[in-house]
Amino acid sequence: MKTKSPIYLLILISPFLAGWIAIFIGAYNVSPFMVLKVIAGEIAPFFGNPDIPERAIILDIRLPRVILAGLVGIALSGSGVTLQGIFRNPLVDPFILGISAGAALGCALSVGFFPEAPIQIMAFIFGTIAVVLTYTVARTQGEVSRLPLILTGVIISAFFTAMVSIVKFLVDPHKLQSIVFWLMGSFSLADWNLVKIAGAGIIAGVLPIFLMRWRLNAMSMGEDEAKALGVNVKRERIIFIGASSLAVSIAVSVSGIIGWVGLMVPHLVRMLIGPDHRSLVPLSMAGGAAFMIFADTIARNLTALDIPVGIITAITGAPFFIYLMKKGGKESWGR
Amino acid sequence: MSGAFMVHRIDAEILMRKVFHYAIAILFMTAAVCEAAVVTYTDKTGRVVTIPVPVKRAVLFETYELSAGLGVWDRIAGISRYAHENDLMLALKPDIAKTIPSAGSGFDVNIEMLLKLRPDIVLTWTFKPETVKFMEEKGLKVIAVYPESLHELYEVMRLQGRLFGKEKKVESTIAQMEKIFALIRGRVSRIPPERRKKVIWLSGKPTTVSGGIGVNNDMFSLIKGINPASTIREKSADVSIEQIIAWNPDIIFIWGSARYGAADIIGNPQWRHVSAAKNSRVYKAPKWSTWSPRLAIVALWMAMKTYPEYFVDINLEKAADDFYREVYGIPYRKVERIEN
Amino acid sequence: MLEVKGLQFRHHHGEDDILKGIAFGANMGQITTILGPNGSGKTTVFKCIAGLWKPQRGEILFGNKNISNLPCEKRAKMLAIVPQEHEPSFAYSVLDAVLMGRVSHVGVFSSPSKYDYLKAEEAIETVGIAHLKEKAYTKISGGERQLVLIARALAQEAPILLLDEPTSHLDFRNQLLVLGKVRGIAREKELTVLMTLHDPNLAMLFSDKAVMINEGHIVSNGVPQSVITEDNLRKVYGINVSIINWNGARVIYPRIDS
Repeated sequence: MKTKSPIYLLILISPFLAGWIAIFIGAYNVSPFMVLKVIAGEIAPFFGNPDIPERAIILDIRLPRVILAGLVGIALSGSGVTLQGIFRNPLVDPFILGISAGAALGCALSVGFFPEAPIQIMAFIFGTIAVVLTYTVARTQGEVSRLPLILTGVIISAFFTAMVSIVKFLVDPHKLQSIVFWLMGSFSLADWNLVKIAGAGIIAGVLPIFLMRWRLNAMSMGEDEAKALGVNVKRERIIFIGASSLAVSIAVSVSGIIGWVGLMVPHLVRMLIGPDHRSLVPLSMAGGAAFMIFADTIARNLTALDIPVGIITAITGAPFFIYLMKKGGKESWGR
Repeated sequence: MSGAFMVHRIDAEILMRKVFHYAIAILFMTAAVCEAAVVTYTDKTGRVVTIPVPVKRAVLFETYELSAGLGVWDRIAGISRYAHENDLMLALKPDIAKTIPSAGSGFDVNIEMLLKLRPDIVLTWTFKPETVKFMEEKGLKVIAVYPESLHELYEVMRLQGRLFGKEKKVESTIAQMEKIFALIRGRVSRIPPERRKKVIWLSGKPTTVSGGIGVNNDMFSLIKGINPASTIREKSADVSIEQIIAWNPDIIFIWGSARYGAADIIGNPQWRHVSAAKNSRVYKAPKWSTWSPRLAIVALWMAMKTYPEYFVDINLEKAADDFYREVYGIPYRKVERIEN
Repeated sequence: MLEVKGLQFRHHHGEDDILKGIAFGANMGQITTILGPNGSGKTTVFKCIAGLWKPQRGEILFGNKNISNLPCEKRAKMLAIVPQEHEPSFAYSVLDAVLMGRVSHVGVFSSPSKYDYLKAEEAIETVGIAHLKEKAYTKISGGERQLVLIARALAQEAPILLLDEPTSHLDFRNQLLVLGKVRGIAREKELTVLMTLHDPNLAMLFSDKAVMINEGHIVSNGVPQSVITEDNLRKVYGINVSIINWNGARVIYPRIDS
């Protein structure tokens, strides 16, 4: 059996470390002692825990924001590692394959034209349509090659982004602001209500991925080999893509489009602990949560403003993608 | 960088004022000599535009609420598509969608439609400078505006007065506005500094606040409210809720077209320690444009919500009705009313 | 005994049958080799038996049971495949790669058990690469990787083993090494081994039975000595060859006329 290295444990607890640090930092000045006092008071109410502003800051603003960032990180990174596995392509993530753009269209339609249709469901429907389109267009003769998959993803993303633009164009300018919000990922509106929605949806999405993660090893051998090994490729692809799409769509519906996390984190974790999906999947999820919490803490503390966290991830992500391409050379682009 | 920008803008303002004086002088001289008068105007992008006046066919993509009371409907050849849904425009000209065609909006200009309308002048905003250039290349006279203060708003109103030859009406409208502003100033000047309230303006998202630039901030200064976000030298900015709690505003105003209302702020436990939410002093503005004479009524409403004890004898409905009748010739009940 | 009966196949939009009634048998504990030039239908036969392509007509029987329509989970327990063109994706360790052979034995929501590890280690021992267990299977030689894939197939514990051109990417030494291993395993584990080969000499050396295919038909079928003949090779490949017997071995060499 595999021996668990210290790095394994470190990645696993990293979201808790990042979260612990994050609740001490913010625009409202709360002393570390006060943070501890509020937390202690919450855990053991007999110390007394008066409803002071600091309590609302820690428990109703920072804590839900940290948890929401963590959940979204789990969703993006977990689906990133899944998509990389089933498409045997380390250069894809939900953003590149069009799920994010599709989900954003669902959100925009819900805001713009169908206020009675729940945003989460619309996001899921359109996110799934986008990724299924990417997959069917890129798939030729039973295999999904690397470069065509990325190109198709880019095309489908562009198409759905254009659809969002049409919606933006058609709705009255005042609804526009709410739609623009989905195009620039941010956790600025995080509260316990969003945590509940995101928690239920994202866990429903990543749980099947977590349980079936070992099968991703065989799936990553390619369609024919996986079939020969006894994997019901068609059925399991539907489950994996559907689950990823669900998690990502819910994430987009609560925080907007945040790119690159699903690409970077699984890659870094794979470099650290190897490609076996039994460890790679849970550790990518943990790493994604930690990264997202970290990036959001930077986003809200770098300046007096609340910078959309999507900008932070894109600034780190795009150079990372270039680095991967250059390092992998021809191999990473493959056939 | 923003400092340099500011300096640049002040220069432009001085220049604009100079040009304005010259223009007035030239106007008077030429008017005395011959009938063919022209207006020379330096717009927000720094372009100098010369137009024979009075204009006969104007297309208004922005600031159409400023021309609504001038009684020049027959000279408005085209208008923004958003004007077709505007409460004031519909109250004044119910058949506007049928009689005044739209040629798109400030976001999206339909150039063929626009050329078909053969305008003497196109009024748009600076939001998309490339559109201005494009229209100009097609042989159109274009003025781009973007009023960022009350002062600049008056300037654009006076420009429209000169374009349509309705200077008097514009001056009387400004006088009506000033009358209300004077009322506000008179009352709030009695407020001792320690009793002044902290006010913020929220727009598209509950965490997007109006900063230290723009008409909203000017209104706050006018009513002697303290805008804690004015340290941010931008028109609007996203901040964290923590920041708003740290500011702890006494009064919160919400942009009229936001997708949330006062109840969403008051009912949200995250805001429970914000004084405005705690004391249910969160108010949603009407959907009226801030680039409008109606701004005066909004300012009065804001002042009354912020310092009700200084305005006990003022009836907002009455003041608004007087203003609408005077400026637009319609009763207040014909337009969208302020939520109370 | 594996029996292929009346196999007929054409592509979806194809005009001609690629296989026009292929029938042969393969025995337990033996190696049966399919020979034929490029485009003869050799690979199609292989893919039909492997279940990757569906033949229009014909059946594949194993122990008198039709296995051509089994769902893939069940088929994987009957028949293990060593693919020809394996394109590595991620750098799995040799052990993890071999463990993938256990997929059909592990529940959908489970991970491999101690028993599965035991089986994988056993397969690694059998092909003799225990020393590579922890190495990345992408960073070993082509011959070693072929052995990893064979071990993965063995871990599947299927009675039938299919190998598609197992020597095509290997050097001379590794070709002999791999085929030697396969023969040993076939005997020891009583597997029914079916493979395709290009090289008639290797087929002659390592097969118990040979099936020669050309243009979708079987040209000859039986013991290698009776199938791999000067006449058949000339007919199928269109080249002149001679076969010499020396010390009980038969060696084919092409006659180059100049």
